[in-house]
Amino acid sequence: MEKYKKLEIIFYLSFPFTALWLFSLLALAFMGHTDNLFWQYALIFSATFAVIFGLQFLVLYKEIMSRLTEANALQKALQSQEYAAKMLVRRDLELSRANEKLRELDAVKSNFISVAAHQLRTPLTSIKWTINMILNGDLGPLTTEQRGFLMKGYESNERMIILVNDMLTSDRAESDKLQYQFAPIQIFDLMDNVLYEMTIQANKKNITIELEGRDANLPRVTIDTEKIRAVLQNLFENAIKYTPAGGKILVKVSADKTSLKVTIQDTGIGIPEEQQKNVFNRFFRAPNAVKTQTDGSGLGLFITKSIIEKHGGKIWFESAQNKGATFYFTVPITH
Amino acid sequence: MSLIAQVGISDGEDSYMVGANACQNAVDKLGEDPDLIIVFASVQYDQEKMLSGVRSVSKETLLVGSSTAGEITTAGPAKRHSVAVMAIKSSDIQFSAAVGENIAADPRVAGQKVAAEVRKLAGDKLKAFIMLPDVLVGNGADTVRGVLDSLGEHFPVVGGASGDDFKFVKTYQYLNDKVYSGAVVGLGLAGSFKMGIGVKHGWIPISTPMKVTKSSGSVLHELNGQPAINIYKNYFGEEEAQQLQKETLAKLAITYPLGIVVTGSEEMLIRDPISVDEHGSITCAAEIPEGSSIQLMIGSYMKAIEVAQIAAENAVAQLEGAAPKAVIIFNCIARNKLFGERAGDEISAIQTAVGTDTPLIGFYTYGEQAPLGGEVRNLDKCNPAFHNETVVICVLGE
Repeated sequence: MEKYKKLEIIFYLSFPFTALWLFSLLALAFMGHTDNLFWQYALIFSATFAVIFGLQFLVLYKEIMSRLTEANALQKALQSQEYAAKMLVRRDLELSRANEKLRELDAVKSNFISVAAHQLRTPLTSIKWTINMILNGDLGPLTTEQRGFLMKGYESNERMIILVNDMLTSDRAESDKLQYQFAPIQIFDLMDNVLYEMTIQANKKNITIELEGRDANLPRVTIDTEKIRAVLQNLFENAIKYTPAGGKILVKVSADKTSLKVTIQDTGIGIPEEQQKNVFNRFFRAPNAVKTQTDGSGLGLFITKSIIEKHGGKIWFESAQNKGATFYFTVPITH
Repeated sequence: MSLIAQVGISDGEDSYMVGANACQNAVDKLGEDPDLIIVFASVQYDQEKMLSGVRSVSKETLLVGSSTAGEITTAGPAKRHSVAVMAIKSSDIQFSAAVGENIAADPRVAGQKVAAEVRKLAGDKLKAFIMLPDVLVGNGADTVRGVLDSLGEHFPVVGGASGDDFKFVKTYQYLNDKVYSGAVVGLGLAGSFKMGIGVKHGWIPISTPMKVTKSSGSVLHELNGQPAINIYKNYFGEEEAQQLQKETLAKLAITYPLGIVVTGSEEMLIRDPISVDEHGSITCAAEIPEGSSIQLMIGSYMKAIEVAQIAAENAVAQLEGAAPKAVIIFNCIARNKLFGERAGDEISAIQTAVGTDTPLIGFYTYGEQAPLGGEVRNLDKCNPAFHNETVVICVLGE
């Protein structure tokens, strides 16, 4: 096929100068038989143009051949591109199917967590009330040693209840089943309440909490008070938990035209840079946090982020290991 | 001049209450008696009861609407099956609406009828036409053709085909107190107002072009003389291609639609593959002309987000400086499937252009209607067509 193409090109390109050469030969032949100058001129013209066309043929032939080679290469590239496109599509389909399966598995896992947490809650509550009754002396007097052991059991059970509740809340947040009741409120009404509770915890570790930016004229925000209370509690508890004794927590509240910003800055252990991208993931706890505090479900910040986003706000942080952490969140202002 | 719009949304168990709440929500925010109510609702609700609920609040106000494959509001795509309502009040736009029934018998006649009726009601000041057709019972492109028969070849027409939560069984259209099925509801906008339309899809060809050698209406029989299914067999492999024969509008196939080259649009016109018969013929969501050149298309999250924003910017630019006051979106259900959980990102991208606070209503459709390239300013170049896998953004401004 290619050979045929080559011959075809040679035939078409060489046609003008071959014709001129033939005409030159004809003129030469006629020249010997007549004195007419026409054939001499004809010979000169045709020979000259035959040479010109001959040279042109060589140049064009070379050019066409190189273009033909390029075209062949392009054709091959196109074919391999098409093949690659097919492979890409198939790979995409494989990945989509795999992704679908993973989603199904993830749903099964979430469902399992939800069922397990639900099932755990009832016995945990009954353990709580049973221990409570014994501690209250309803079943007779206790020795100091018995009371000490029971208190430990009671506290562990409380931690389990918190964990199970966190698991249920995070599951509801993920499946968008958390119910919200929004109402306009002045943020300090809530903040003062939370700060009162948190100061008691902070005092135990000799940590001071300072509030900056108290301004009764700050615009009101439309929030679900209980949910934002949980957000504040979580951020404060983390700050207290991961700040060494004698540290400081600074709280700032400010507002611009569209949103209200709360900043909670601590002097704690901070979050290592390489772990920062995972902070809002479910069940994530940074290694330095696990080392400092064995307690913690790794669900608090996941729930917090979900709540803030449901309010149309944003949450982010700045931190470096051993240099404390500053968490910020915003909620839209009521107009 | 005044144009105000507000949006309400509601979900729950009781169809009547959900309808009433959604409408009450929109009307309360509007604070005045509306001139028009637009309702987009899930088929999960008893349609008659839901509409009665809406009417218990909207009373005699002109109402148009459609069932959907997902509702969209200013807050983004609805996460649960909902009823979304937009209430509009305008001293400059006169609204009129009609219905064309029995698409199953002849979609073109239904299209002609609804548009002629709206034209009669609106008179010469009719500037734009919004259509909500059923495409499960008849060729959507024919319904558009019928509408253009009555309004003229170059008339600004936009719209979205009703959905039924991706079930493909039965869709509904609403006009005032009545729920229709197998019909097309049309809304005419007359008077002096500004409207911008953005139309884009962002799909790009991945296969080499193939010629449609045999087709009839929306059934694609042969490509390059081979059974049409071969285009999917070549790219998907035998096993995945067989899935197309088993599953209606297979999820993977709608993420690889077909594209046709058309004049008047820088983008190709998209066609969704709906089902495949035993001969390998593909039934598409709208017609594919014989002799046209067709390619398999690929889309991506990034590109789709990018073009959604460009489409919205194009729509806003057509307002010539006027502020967007109400946004209506007709967005293909396939785009929702492509985006998955990130469907809200597309709406956010649109909102960066139209304004995050501008009241917005829309739904996921089974096909979109809009002029090619969204051209409405130069009417000679305004050529409405039936699209698939496309986002159509209609912005009203003042």
